[in-house]
Amino acid sequence: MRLLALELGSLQAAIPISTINRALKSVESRLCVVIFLAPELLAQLDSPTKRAGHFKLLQELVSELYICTTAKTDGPCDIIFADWCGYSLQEETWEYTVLSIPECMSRHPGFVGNWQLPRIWSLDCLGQVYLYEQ
Amino acid sequence: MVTRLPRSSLSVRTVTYLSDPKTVDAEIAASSPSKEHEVVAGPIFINGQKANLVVGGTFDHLHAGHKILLSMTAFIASRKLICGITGILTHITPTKSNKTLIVDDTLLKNKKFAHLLESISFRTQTVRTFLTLISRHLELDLVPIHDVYGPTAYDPEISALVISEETRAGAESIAKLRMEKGLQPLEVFVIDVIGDSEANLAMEKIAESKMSSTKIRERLARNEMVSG
Repeated sequence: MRLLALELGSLQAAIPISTINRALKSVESRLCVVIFLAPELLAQLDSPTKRAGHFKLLQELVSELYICTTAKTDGPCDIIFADWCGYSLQEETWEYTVLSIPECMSRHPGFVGNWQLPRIWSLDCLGQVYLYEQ
Repeated sequence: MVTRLPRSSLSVRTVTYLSDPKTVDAEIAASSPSKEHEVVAGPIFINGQKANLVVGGTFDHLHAGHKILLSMTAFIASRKLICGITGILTHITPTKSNKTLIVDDTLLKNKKFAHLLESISFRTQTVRTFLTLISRHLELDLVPIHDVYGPTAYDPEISALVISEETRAGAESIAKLRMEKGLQPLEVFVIDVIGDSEANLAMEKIAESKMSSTKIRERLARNEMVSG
């Protein structure tokens, strides 16, 4: 399984589809997209009621991601919003190997080898894409 | 540019509207940063009570379109998510091998390549697994349905319905039936998968084939013919 971790700062931000597509070219197995929200966006969406208030934008984001990944992967794809999936991803056993995405590596040269999801929270790069392989 | 996906896909533009603006939860107003964010007051809290949401479908060969529908339902459900899954065990037919063959109901028998439909137990498990992955805190009630109404025909605690554009007619039938029975009307959220990028235009054909259970079964049928 491969994990694509995305941190978003806005529901209206353009999804970096070209980057995702490029990263997904080699994905043939199950793909799991985990969305992390920046604190300011999370504050707008941290309850079902708030999410209903942003239903249109949220569903467009989810649709865009699913359509994008559908076109590029043969295996199944699931999209998880880490902030409201109802369990702590940190407590799951997630270990991934960083794939080489030059723009990610140049900004975060220390990301090599196995590491755990919580560290994504410390990243200061909204909208940046990282791809890991389990 | 807005690209509309084929009708066979889930596609959506319409969202739900609040019948009574006074019930808008204050937190929605507080969280809406600008007019660009369309504020849609959901039925998530009805009379101060957390609302139950219902969604339905066949969910055969669970694909991206199904996942969009289920995801959006789960994301706005606050307590319980009821998912009606087409197919009911109506009769058991003895077979030559003396094993039992379980047959789904008439709603399914007219589907194309019906012999390649997954069993209702398999589809139910697949839906449950997916919902548990994306929204583990919800109380799930996955029920077989054999008509367009399912639990909406009798459950007074259901307050909202999430549908795809192609099942809008079913929602209208449900609204009519509930009115006749004196049940509270349901707020309706319509999912319409919209792609508004050039990239999505190029992906349309691929998405069409992967977001249609019929197309998936058709592919399987072709594979059967080739291998058989």
